[in-house]
Amino acid sequence: MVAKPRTSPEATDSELVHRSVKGDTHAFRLLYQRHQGKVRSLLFQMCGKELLDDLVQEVFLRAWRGLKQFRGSCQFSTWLYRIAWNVATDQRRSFAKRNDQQSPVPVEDCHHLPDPVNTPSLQHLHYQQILYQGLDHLSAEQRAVLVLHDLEEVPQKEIAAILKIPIGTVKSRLFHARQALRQYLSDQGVEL
Amino acid sequence: MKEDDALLQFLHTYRREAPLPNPELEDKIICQLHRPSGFPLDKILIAIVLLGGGLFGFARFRQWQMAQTQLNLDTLEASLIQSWEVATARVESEDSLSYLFSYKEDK
Repeated sequence: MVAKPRTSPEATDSELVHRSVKGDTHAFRLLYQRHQGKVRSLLFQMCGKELLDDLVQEVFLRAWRGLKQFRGSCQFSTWLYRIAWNVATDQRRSFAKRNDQQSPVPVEDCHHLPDPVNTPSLQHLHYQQILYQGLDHLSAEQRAVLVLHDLEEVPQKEIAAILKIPIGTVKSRLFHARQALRQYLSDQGVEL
Repeated sequence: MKEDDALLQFLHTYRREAPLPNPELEDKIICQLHRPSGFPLDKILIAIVLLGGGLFGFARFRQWQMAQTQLNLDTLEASLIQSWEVATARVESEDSLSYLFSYKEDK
């Protein structure tokens, strides 16, 4: 009996996608290992750490189910980011619905007190908190563009492909998002 | 732009990093790949077949019921005509108002 050849870790994304479509879970595992960090980071910046593992799982399961529809007209990472954006949008809607019913409690910031040895200063934590409050003040569309471009360093052309909007719209949203965030930071007494 | 550079500097300094994933997450995802998706197509098909069968049965029942009603219509019409004839004959033979508003005990 001839053993099935294992997919090489050096294989390109399209080779791994091709193998995954045929049901090769090892190839899909390599795709996961290659892209989970970026997907995880995007979801974290968009939705916070609550349910983060579940959201990552949802993205990769949706990707697996939709692989046959992936035509290769864009990069696999772009397609995967688009799925992550859809999952993040769904999650933000569900957060918003839940927050309408309950009063929002910033559990994340209250219950995770910093480790006194290995932590940044209180001022650093304060600025972090202000930054994320500022991001929460942006619309989902503005936040997505700002997070993708300024935090995840995705090129504008790719953002346009991920969000399926013209590149001019990306530029415009980025301009307004930065302006709104600058204004918020200024109102909070942060001097840039 | 100078303003943008300052904002980018701030974002990079104070961005939070995503927490590390649960070490079992990767295996958990891979294990779920061959499980049936959340969309239960087979159950939906069964529900459609049952619903279709139910609707068809109901339609046949209504058809049969209508046919029965049609048969009874002739009897009903004859009965109505007969009762009206009796009523109009009584009204013609008596003063209609006294017939309607005065009570006479039959002896």
